Amino acid sequence: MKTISAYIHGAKTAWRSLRLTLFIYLSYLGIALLIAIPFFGLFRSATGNSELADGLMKGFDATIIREILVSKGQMFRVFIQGLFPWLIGFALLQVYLTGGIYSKIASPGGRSNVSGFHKSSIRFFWRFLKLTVYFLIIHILLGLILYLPYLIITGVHTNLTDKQVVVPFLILLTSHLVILNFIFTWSDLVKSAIYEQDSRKVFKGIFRCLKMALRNFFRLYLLGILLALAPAAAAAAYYLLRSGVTVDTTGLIMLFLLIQQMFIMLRVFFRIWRLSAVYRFYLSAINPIFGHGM
Amino acid sequence: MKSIHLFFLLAAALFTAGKGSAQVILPSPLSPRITQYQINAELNPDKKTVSGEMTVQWKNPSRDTVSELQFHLYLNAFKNGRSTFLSARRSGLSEEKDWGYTDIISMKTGSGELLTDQLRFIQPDETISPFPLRLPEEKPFPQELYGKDQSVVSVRLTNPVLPDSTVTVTIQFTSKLPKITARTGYSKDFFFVGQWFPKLGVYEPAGMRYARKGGWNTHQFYPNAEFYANHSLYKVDLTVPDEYVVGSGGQLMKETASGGKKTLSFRAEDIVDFAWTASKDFQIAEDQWKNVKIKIMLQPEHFYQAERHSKAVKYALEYFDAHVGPYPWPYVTVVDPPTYGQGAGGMEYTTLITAGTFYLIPEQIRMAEMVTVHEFGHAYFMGILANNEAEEPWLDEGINSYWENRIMDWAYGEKTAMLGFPFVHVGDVEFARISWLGGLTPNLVPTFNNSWSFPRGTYGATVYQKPATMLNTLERMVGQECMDEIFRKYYERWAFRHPSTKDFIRVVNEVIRERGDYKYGPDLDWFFDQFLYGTAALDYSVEGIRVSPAMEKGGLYDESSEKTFLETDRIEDRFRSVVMLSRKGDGIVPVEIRVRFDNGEEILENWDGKDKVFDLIYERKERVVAAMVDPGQKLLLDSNLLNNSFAVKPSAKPALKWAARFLFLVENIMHSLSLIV
Repeated sequence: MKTISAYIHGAKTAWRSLRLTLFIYLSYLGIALLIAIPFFGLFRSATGNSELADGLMKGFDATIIREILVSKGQMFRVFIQGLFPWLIGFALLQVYLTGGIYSKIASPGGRSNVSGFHKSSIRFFWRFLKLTVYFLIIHILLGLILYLPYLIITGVHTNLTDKQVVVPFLILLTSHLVILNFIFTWSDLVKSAIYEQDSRKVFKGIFRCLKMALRNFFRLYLLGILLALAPAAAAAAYYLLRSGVTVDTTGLIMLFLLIQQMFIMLRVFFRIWRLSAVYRFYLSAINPIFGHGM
Repeated sequence: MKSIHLFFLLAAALFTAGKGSAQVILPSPLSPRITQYQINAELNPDKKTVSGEMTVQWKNPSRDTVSELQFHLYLNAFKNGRSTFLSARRSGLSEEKDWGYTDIISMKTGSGELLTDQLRFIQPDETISPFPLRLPEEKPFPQELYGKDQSVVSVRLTNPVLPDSTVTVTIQFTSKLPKITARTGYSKDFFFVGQWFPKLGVYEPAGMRYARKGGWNTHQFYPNAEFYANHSLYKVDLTVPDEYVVGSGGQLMKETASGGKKTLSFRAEDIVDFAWTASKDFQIAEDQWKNVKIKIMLQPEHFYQAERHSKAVKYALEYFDAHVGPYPWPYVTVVDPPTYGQGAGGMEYTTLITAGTFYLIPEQIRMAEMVTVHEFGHAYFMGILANNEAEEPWLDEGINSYWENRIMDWAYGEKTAMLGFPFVHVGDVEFARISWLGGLTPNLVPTFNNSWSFPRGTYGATVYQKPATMLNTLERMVGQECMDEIFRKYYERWAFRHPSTKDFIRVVNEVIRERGDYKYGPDLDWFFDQFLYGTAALDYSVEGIRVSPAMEKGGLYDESSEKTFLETDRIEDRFRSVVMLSRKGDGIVPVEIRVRFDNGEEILENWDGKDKVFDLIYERKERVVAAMVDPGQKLLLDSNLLNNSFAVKPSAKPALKWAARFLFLVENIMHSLSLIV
């Protein structure tokens, strides 16, 4: 029940935070546009006055892409290399906004104001940044633990069949996904704890929340799965819609641009839903008032 | 052999195949059967050896009196690091058990005369005279590789072989198989046994191919080189441990078992080589196309992919039958090597081919299909039309790649044959072109070249993908019907013989003349000179379009006895449009240009493509808004298609569409980062 109530609470909070969703979406869109607009110019300049690119209106075409990349590949390479700092900047923006999101989802009735949002963002920025770095290390360690022995074994034993190579890899990949669901939820739990307790002890928080997550393993894990369902369904729906249509007119381009942006906005919505649900779960774990006790 | 005679034989073969007696597969020989082999051999899986005795008959096809025989001992290429093969590859095998060789224990004639003492290793390429080929730059065999190679052996005969006479030689031999290298050897308990017995070279009488005088045509085994042999009759008895499943290029005639071993008797007719495979793990799937039995020998984990392989074979059989000529044998075997034996994958022995696939590989990645179609195609280009693969590798690999392109695109979709995912896909014709041009130096050396003359990294693109692209270009120029006619004629004339490049081109020119279609001239020598014998690069470009008001041609004109001055005035409602074209490469091909005017009208112009710079000028009330060189995209050899067109106002839609996609991608990447933030 704790899981379900947290899940529903998260959905309600996200629904009440549509303005916040829009605000966050627009912030992200701003950055994305700063990258996409030069890409538009680059693409036009790469194809110049050629009509070859018109063939791309029908969809992917390996020959046309090859021609463009061979002729102007260097321009694209430089552009793509230049994206890395933007992604770092975006990650920092995400860290920054997370504090603000918590101020909204933690406020009674989901109310907050702009100044409160930014105050909270600034207040928790360094703590959440530290947390991100720690979890990045955890992800790297997990990757090494899972895949390094596999790589060594398959590299050394050259007499393996491809099934003996592929099946363990698929098992590892599935295990990785299963573990990731736990780690993502655990990480959100730590954020909830840091925010709720206004704690600066990030490292300690990770271990405390690990204990809590393990004590509530099944409920928390189920919550993680439930929270992954809606984004997965949205992605599948988008894929089905996209694969059935050839976007070859300006009208369709604009329509799909709109659908794509709605999908992105939905992803922001899902993020707020996720943070809010896990936050609620955390509260109910430390205080039975918020749920049915531990 | 006259074509009508050949077709009679083939038709008879197809009609009776499958109903044949226990003794023969085809009712009559399809080739002169200059060589006939009877081999009795046993596999020792522990020692990785195949030992046995073979009797070979050779009929002298020439007017010469021949006093020596030359045999290939291909496995000696893996005997030590001094072999031509390993010297050229600059690598060796590591452990003692990895190396391979063929030892001739004894050799004697049919009359019992011992020849063993007469054996001597020779290096035919040491004294190679530059081939009488039209090479732009005649290259001798690399000097540093001479001397120690033992892949060719010569034996002097006490009694020379007179014209049309036959000599019989019995050889006892042991072949130690290498750890799989160059499509032969063993890996664990998988054996792929190719190039495993002493094999006669081809005696070329004067006038055959490029031979000025009669002589043996043998070459040391070289990494890029494949093989050259007469069409032969093979009767092969193989003894293996009971638990091994065996497949070969022959038809199984008999199987007997005793003492934990079994002996399989195979017979193969009119094939150029006999290879076989043995493994405990093979699982067999069978299928049929008309009278051709298709046997797929798969690894257990790949068994579920049997249909993918057999479908590919059936597509190839159907297509070749319809467009080139009949497949004469009533069987074909496809071998799927294990992952640890992938070195045996992608090889052809006419009626026995090896493919290669991976567990759980999606159906949209058609690697297994492509390899199967390609290797099957070698039954025609090298199997039936048995060119010298070492000297003219393009003639089988290049032509066969062209047919692979055609069959794959026909069977699996023009833009999806190689990779068929909804959002990422590529066809085989375009894949060949992309692969060829993807190399750093796509036109560094001519395609027409000896297999050992290709600089590092150029062999694959120059021998496979470039000629395939060249023939795809030719097909788009002359039409598919004409190409089919060319290949039908090539097949009719040269099946079960040894064609050379000049024979192929002669057929092309004959068909062009017979059809009376002189759009590209009375012959296509100019085409092959540039793109097969030469290294011409093709690149046509529309440099720009200049539109200005049309002007009166002013100046002084003689009117009666006085000079009249006419002003250079603008002509009302008329524009002068100049379409500026250029030839950026050294290749020359007649080309079409499509010019579009602002009223939507399109006209097609022809340009002989010779000038470096060429302008099309129009003075009319419509303005030229766009022009495109080669609008039908016939010239796949054109290395840059981006500059083939020019629009005064190019559409922004593609950029908008791909920028929107890019925006979506960037946003998604950014949001995915939120999972760890």
